[in-house]
Amino acid sequence: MTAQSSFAIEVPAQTLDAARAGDPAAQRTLYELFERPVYTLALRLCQNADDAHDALQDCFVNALSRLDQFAGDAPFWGWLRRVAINTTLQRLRAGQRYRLRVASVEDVEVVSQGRAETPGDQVDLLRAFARLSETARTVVWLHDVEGLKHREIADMMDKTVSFSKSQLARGRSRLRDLLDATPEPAPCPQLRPTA
Amino acid sequence: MNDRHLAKALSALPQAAPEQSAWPDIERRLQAPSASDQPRSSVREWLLAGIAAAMVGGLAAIIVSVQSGSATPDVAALPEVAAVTESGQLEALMMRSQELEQRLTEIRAGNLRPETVNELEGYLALVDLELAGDDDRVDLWQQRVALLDTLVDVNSRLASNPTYQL
Repeated sequence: MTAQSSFAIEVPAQTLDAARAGDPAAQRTLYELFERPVYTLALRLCQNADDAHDALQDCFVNALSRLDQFAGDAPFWGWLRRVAINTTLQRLRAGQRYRLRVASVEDVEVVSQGRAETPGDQVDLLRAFARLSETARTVVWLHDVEGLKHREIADMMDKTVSFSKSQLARGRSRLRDLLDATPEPAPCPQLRPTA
Repeated sequence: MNDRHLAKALSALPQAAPEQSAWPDIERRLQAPSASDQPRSSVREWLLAGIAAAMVGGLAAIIVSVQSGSATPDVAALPEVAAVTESGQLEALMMRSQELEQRLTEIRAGNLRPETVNELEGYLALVDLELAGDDDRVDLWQQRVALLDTLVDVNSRLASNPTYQL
């Protein structure tokens, strides 16, 4: 159902070996390759640029300091994506305990900030997505964009498969409702030829 | 819009990039020297590490005392905490501190001692001291909120239970 994950970037074995050996240049190469996928994932889930930036940092510090734990029997991007998801979920869980976060207009502006090329319907989608609950947003993104299975999502969120399925259904339904409620842009006034 | 179209539209959203590269901070964290290698001039980092260590040790002590009901909690009973404290690694301590906060929340059903309030207020004072010099540290504010959250909870439970004496 989904397009390939934006994480799906092949990394040369020699780059990985050098990064594992502590070579800063190789480590930076990994960062530059995966900066956008990791940041995008964190931003979509957190809906806050500061939290996303912190999650980006934490993800790479965790991953690069534990590269020896990457077995190499599967693509590196899959391993890094798991680290990114876990890091972001950890940040969300920490936030949930101290604040009830509601997507604000400002946050939505952050989401679409600097994206003048973003078409209007995508801005509407970003705004609607930002209004989903934190949990529904996470499940919808991990399932529909990253292509994770319900079993994987349930494990990562420490929930049941049924929970993941119901959150996905509710999230999609809510997203559709929000998009349907988006007002159509005002029509341009008709230009009539003057006599 | 059906499920397939919705997923496709979400996948087609443009990727985002941070306004500033996070690499300099990541590199600094990766290359952070161990406590024994830190320069003497890094007083601020030492202070932060001290606060974090105190909080980790203190929170661990509270957890141990709550779980065991003993009057004199033994931090060493948690070997992983002791190891982290010895390392002096600020990041590790703060991460451990967060885990301990989580555990504190999870053991809210356990017994509490009135002394817990004094301990928590002591750590709060340490955090406030550091915030007085740098009030835009998100991690310190998080620690402060966590401590206040726990304090409110502890006070509420002490006040509502007649068997406790403040």
